[in-house]
Amino acid sequence: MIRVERLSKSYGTKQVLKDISLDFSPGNIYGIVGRNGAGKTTLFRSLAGLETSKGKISSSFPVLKNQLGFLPTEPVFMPRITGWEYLKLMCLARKVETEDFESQNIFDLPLNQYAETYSTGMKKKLALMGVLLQKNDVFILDEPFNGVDIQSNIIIEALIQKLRSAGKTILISSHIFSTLSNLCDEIHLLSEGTIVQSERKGHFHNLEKAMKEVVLGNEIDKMNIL
Amino acid sequence: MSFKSADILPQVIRFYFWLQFQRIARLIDGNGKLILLGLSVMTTGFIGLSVLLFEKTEFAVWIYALIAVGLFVRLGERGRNDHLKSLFRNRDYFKVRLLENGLTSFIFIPIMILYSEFYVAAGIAFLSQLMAIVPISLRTSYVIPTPFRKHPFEFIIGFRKTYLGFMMSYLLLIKAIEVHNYNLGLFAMGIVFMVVMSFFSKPEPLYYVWIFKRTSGEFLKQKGVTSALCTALIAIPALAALCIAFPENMILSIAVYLLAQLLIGSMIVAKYSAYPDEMSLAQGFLFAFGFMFPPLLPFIVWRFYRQSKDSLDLILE
Repeated sequence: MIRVERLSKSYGTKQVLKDISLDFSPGNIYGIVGRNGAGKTTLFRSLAGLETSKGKISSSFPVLKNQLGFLPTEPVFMPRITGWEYLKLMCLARKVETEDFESQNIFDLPLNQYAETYSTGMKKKLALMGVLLQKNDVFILDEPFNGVDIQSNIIIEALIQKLRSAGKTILISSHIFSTLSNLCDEIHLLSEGTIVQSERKGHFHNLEKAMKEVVLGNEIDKMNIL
Repeated sequence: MSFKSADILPQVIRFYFWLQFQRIARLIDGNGKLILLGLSVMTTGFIGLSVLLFEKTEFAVWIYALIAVGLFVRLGERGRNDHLKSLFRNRDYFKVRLLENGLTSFIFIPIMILYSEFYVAAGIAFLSQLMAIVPISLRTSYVIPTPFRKHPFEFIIGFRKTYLGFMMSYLLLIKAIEVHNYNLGLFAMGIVFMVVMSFFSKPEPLYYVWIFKRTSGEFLKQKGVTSALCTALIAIPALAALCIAFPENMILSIAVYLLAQLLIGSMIVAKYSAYPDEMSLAQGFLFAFGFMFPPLLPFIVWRFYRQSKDSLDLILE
């Protein structure tokens, strides 16, 4: 169980997160949606302990960070290390003793090549493999489907569902609403740093409708293209 | 009371540093077969250049201190540290950062001690540890104004990253004029040029070159001209102040200014000679050689220019 209470974050005078309170329970998938710049990544980074913020983040784990697998939007790889070496480092970081990455390489990644030479999608898949192999209890996946091919997206969706079955807590952000509505148990709409609407499974259509109303309005007419 | 090595340095930290060694080995030699030879050449070359530098200028120790601090700043970059923070437990993260900065400082400290620069050496050792613990970059939404807004992109980014360096050098220059110390003034101007050089130390993403509708020669010319103009905008006030405060050394000041402009031009062609990769160690040494022996600079620049054209032709034409 993770509890976020009155979380706020500012960069200088700009407030990015405003008094956010949320609960995340094991065995559930939570979606965070919102426009670019709404604060999704900052929320994830705060949960991962990569940002200092006001408010309280508590969990049932002694140290949340040590049970948390964080997949950033753009994973970082050190130059001149191979995919295999990256996975080894990720596993050792959580004291997971394994080296048999080839048999677990469901994305068919060229693990003996330098990770920096991978394509965007391959980098994302390698980073995802890293957090999965760490055997974490909580997963924060920032745009896990971005830049990844359709086949791999199907695999990622299945993996996320399997994690839920295993009782893990999963937080996902994505701009593909249909994927989120298929996967999630609860979706929160973040706008200008505030949670403006939350819906449980079965009521996601309300969220989609609200988003369309807010986002579209008469914006298209403003462009005067037709 | 006994400590096991695993308590102090867990396996993941040892693996992390083993990886860093592998990365250096691969930088020296793609196959990692000539690592010993490469390391010997590197060490000898570094010691040789250091001795030369310390024999040639009284400010060598400060140049070293600046390079060391530059490396600490680079090791403290946000993206890199976010990765390390998410990888390691808090305690291990600080161990890694303290060790990284400590090892980096040990590249410079022995030479400083050899030349009896004990205080600077101690300062660098202290800074290395302090900068490992205290975050050095504060993210802000405030857009730092820059005079280079219309000249993307090296000077825009560089200025916003290093404006404190420029401020520091100008404060030093004012002090130099106040105490009437020409050498200190010249050194202050030198800092301006070294900061500008750092703008060209890393290759930009391929896309930022590909978008240009120019031949490789035109591209390099444009980079050179933009850099010369922008550098002039930052450095000419320093040069003017030196010329006015120390008119007896005007010729020397102007000569140093022109030489520095040439060095920045060399840095640009050196960067693109390896593009889209980072400069190799051999290229780095060649550049450093030109830095130490300016008469050789035209030949080195010409060589880098030819290599740059070849690299850029593949992308632009």
